[in-house]
Amino acid sequence: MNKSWVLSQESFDALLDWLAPEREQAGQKYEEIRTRLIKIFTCRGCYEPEDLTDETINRVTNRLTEIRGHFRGDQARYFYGVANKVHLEYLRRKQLQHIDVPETDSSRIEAEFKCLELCLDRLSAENRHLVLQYYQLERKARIDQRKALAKEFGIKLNALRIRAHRIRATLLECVQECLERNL
Amino acid sequence: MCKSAWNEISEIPYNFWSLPLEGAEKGEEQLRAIGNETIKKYLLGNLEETSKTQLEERLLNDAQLFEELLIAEDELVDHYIAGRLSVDDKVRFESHFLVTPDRVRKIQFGHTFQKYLERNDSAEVPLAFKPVNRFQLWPMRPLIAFCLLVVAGVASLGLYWGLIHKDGAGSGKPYVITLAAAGTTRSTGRGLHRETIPPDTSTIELRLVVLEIRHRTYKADFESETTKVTDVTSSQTREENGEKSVVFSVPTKQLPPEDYHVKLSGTDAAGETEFIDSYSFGIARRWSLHRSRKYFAVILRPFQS
Repeated sequence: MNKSWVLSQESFDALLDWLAPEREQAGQKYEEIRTRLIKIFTCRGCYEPEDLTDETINRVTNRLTEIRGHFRGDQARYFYGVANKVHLEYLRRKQLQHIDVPETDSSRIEAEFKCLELCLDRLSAENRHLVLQYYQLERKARIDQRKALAKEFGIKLNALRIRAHRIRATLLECVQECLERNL
Repeated sequence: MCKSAWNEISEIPYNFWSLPLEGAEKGEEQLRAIGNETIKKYLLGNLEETSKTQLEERLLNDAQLFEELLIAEDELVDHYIAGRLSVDDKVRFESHFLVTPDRVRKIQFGHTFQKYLERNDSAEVPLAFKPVNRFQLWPMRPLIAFCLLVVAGVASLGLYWGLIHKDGAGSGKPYVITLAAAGTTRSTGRGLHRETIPPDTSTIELRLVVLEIRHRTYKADFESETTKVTDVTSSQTREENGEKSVVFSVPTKQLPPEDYHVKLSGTDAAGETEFIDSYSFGIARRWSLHRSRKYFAVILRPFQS
């Protein structure tokens, strides 16, 4: 493999053309594949999932001329095949990475706590109510009350779960930004 | 005991595989083929090879399954923090799951969030919103009347402005984006809903949905990774089918294709300014040569061996 191979504008355009005829659609597909490959590498326990994903994309782009000639079907599966090879190479050379479970640093928790309060204040009253109630009930494993909460919002239980997760993701991002500004 | 705690959370009636997903009738049957126990095993690196391959292949093409994975990650983090994982799962969690800084941040956030929930344990709070007693608003009648007058005046001005600029030179029709508050819009994975702006559009009209209109003027700050457009003011509001919104007109060139976070604040008649809500949206790239270069920076990051 030529790791020093440089992706040119022309190659990237060719990759997008291969992904979908419409540029916008191709761009979105590219982003989806990239995000999901990162997650797959993460789930496989790789310490540098972004680098492995970029390497996968580079290799696919580098082989586009031959791929176009004989490959038919879902492009994501082709990426997946290449990702498997990249992963095998990673396993051969990898040194054991270990991240310690974070200590409960009280000063950091306090700072994060304040940020969380600020971020919760930024939510609409409805979303704040939803996310706090949902996770409060989840903490106590009160299934019936979660059902009641879903009913209150006029949605099904799984929709409630998805919505709570999305609000939580928004909170995590907001807290992260807040900490970066303040620490 | 630990295992049953997970199961209690994950299985009937909490079992999302038996519940329809939002707008996902087509994928529902497929989703049923994979259980949440499978996702948990996958996250802990404990899934046998054939099932892992099947799951990963589907993850690449199935937005709903991908979001389920993200949710399951959060739930696993919460179970770890709460000490609900079995000894084996805890070991696997620490050795396999906790591999990236991103996931370490999730743990830290999970700790803080749980602490917040403990401190603000609202077990006695009724689930339903407390209804507003209409007589509570009685003393505010003059203010409400004033606001209505302001709104009517602003609307008239807006109408007048719209009429005299109807045939404005080359302005074209504004592209309208209506945004609900952050966390309420549907998206795939962690991505936002992105709007594709037609090339000849000079103005984007953003309608930020609010619960009530009670401010004299409004201000919006737009922020993305690289762009910051602050102090965009507006007094224009609208109400359609019971949905109230504040309207901002922003030149398209000021909002290049990126994901934006919008903070809305309002100033009332007394001059008091308060934060109202935040919103998120994205302007889709049109994949021009210029935009693509930005992606090269990501793709071409040196590969560390």
